[in-house]
Parts: sequence; structure tokens; C-alpha cells
Amino acid sequence: MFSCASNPYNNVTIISKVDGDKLALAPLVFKDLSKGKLYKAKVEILKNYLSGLLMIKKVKGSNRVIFTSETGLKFFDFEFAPDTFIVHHLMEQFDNKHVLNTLREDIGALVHFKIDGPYEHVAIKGEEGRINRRKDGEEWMYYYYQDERLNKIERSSDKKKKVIITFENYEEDIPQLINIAHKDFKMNIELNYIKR
Amino acid sequence: MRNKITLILGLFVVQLTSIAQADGYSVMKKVEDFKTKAKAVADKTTSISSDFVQKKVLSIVEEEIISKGKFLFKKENSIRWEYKDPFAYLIIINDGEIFIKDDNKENKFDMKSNNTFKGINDMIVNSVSGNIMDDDNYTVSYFESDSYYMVQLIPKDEKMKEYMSTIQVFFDKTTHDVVKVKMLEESEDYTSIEFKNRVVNSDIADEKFTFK
Repeated sequence: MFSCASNPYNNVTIISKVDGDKLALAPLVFKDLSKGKLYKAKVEILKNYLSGLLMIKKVKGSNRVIFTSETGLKFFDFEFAPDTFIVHHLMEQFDNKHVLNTLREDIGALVHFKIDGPYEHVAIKGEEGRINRRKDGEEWMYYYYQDERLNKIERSSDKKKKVIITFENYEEDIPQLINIAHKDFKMNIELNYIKR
Repeated sequence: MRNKITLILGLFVVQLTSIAQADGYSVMKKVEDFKTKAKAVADKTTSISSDFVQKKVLSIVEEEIISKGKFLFKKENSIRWEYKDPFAYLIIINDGEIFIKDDNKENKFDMKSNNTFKGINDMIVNSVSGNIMDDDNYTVSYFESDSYYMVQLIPKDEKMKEYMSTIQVFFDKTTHDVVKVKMLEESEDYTSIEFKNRVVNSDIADEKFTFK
């Protein structure tokens, strides 16, 4: 069905293979979450639209992500611990296995602790900067770095990109704009940093 | 069995009272007097124009989200919340419809399709207009401090309780105006909305509550 030309990963060259521990040194999205980071969030899922405020903060060794409406209504409260994921609160409308898994993956990609190895340092024709990839179950995770900063994460099958997360306009180590775009169904999350 | 229930109820009442008393509040002495005065103020109020400061407290992450804006109310039940800082967000509630503007995105809902939202809205309209005491949807109790009267509402509806377990409406003791509404969640989190620079019965154009 898909021609070889449409496969964006046809031109991947493996440069080196590195064990996972060393990759923990690779920069994460947020260098410091000891102070809460607040984003204005716009979420589009199929025909639904929802906006609100997303708070990200590290508390007692876990990364906590809380999404409320502008008026203060709490949509969800997730805890990403190094080895577990805990749902502290989930509004009825989000209480669907597929939605929850998608949110867990999408939001989890922003607040991961380290990138488990082994990973491969690769080059992709047409892409600049350093690119690392690792296998996550049946899928690949690609991490694109520019000037020691993570500026893109892609989740893909062998042939197709499934989710593209971009990080733009870093100021004081904080991306001012984050965009999470799904390619296999209509879902997009846009996060704009709120200075406080 | 009966004793057990009485004990549990007793503990519950003691606990409620102690929560309120903890921050300088005691059970209100002249409830009927307060209700009459608050209702008289509400009856005379045809419109309210006020600045508001909203504070969302996320206790587990020890963070507060402060937002500010302009609040307009016009009898019978037209409301305009305009958040201006640190983000722009507009809600207009008029004639059973909700209009929301978020940056360039506009959305319109029929409030009848969302009972919980209707409940929250009625509570806010009734709070700011001082009519909250007569609402059958809540178990109401009355407290006072040196400066404020406080009406505490506990929703009877379980769905509503998921969003707010307790609502506290604070009235100025001299003017009987609503100065603050605090909505507590089952966790220790809460949202408080404080009204400042309040102007009552000014002429507010209907256009402020209309949308296409």
C-alpha cells in the first residue's frame, strides 16, 4: 500500500549503538522542575475542543501533571514516578482506556526521567542535529537534538510517523511552545508557556 | 445501630463546625436577620460590575495559579467572566447558553446539555446576587467572623460533589455584599474568587452579554 518513497525512515543510517545508562545524560525537555511550569493548553480530540491550564512540577521524586480548566475545574491529575504511573484524578469525560493511554504517552514524553536504552545514534537524510532512537515495544522513539536541546520527539512504527512532539523557543531552558500532533487520528495538543 | 448513626452524625457536625471555626469563624448568631438583609441587598441589585482575582490552589504541588479579570452580572441571569491576566479567556452565560472564547477559538453550548455546569453556574449567579440560601440543591449552614458572614453549602448531588465538596460564600458584614466565593475539592485543593472594585447597578450594555 505504502510506497517505499513515503517511508520517512528509509534513509536512516545507524552511526553507533550506546547502552542506556549513558543516554540518561542526554538533555530532557525540562532541566529543572522544582518550580512549577504552567502552560495554557489547547486540546483537540476528533471533533472536540478543550482548553485549560497545565501545571507540571516535580514533587517528592515524581513528576506531577495537573490539567484544570481556566475556571479551576480539575480535568486530571497524573503522577509520573520513575517506575510507575498513578492517576490521582480523572474527569468522567476522559475516563476512556484509549484516551487515557494516549494522554499517558503524550504527557509522559514531556516529563520522562531518562531514556531507557539501549539506543542508537542515527543520521536521517534531510535532518540536522543529533538524533537518537530506541525501541519502545513495537514502536520507535526518535529524539532530535539541536544545540544540546531536545527539539523534537517522534513515535513511529517501522514505516510511519505516529506522533510528533515539537519544542520551540527555549527561554531559560523552558520551551515556550510545545506541540503534540497525532498522525494516525485527529488529536493535537498545543501548550503555550505562561510567565508568572 | 441508632447510637452509632447519631455518633457518626455528631462527629460530622463537630468536624464541620471545627473546620469553620479554625479560621476565626463561629456559628452565625442571627441567621434570619442576616438572610433578610442579604436578600434585601440582592433584590435591589440589578447589575454588578467588578474586578475579580481567582486563586487556584494545587496543594500537592504547592502551587497557586492566580488569574485576574472583569466580572459583569445583569439581572436576571446574564454573566460575563473575562479573564485578562495572565491569559485571555471569555465566558458569557446568557439565556441558557454558554459562549466561550479562547484566543481565536469560539464555542457555544446549550447549558441544558450539561447539568453539572448548570449547577455550578446557578450557584455562582445565586452567590453573587445573594440568593444562595434558598437553593434546595445544597445543605446550608451559617457562620460569621469579625468581618464576614459565611454561608457554607454542601452539594447534595454526587456528580457536583466530584468538582466541589464544599462552597463557602463570604459576605461583607456591613454591606452584605458577596466579596468572595471559595470552592473546595475533596482533596485539599480549592478555587477562590475574590471580587474587588465592585460597582452595583451601573448601566451595563446588553451587548456585553450577546454573541453571534
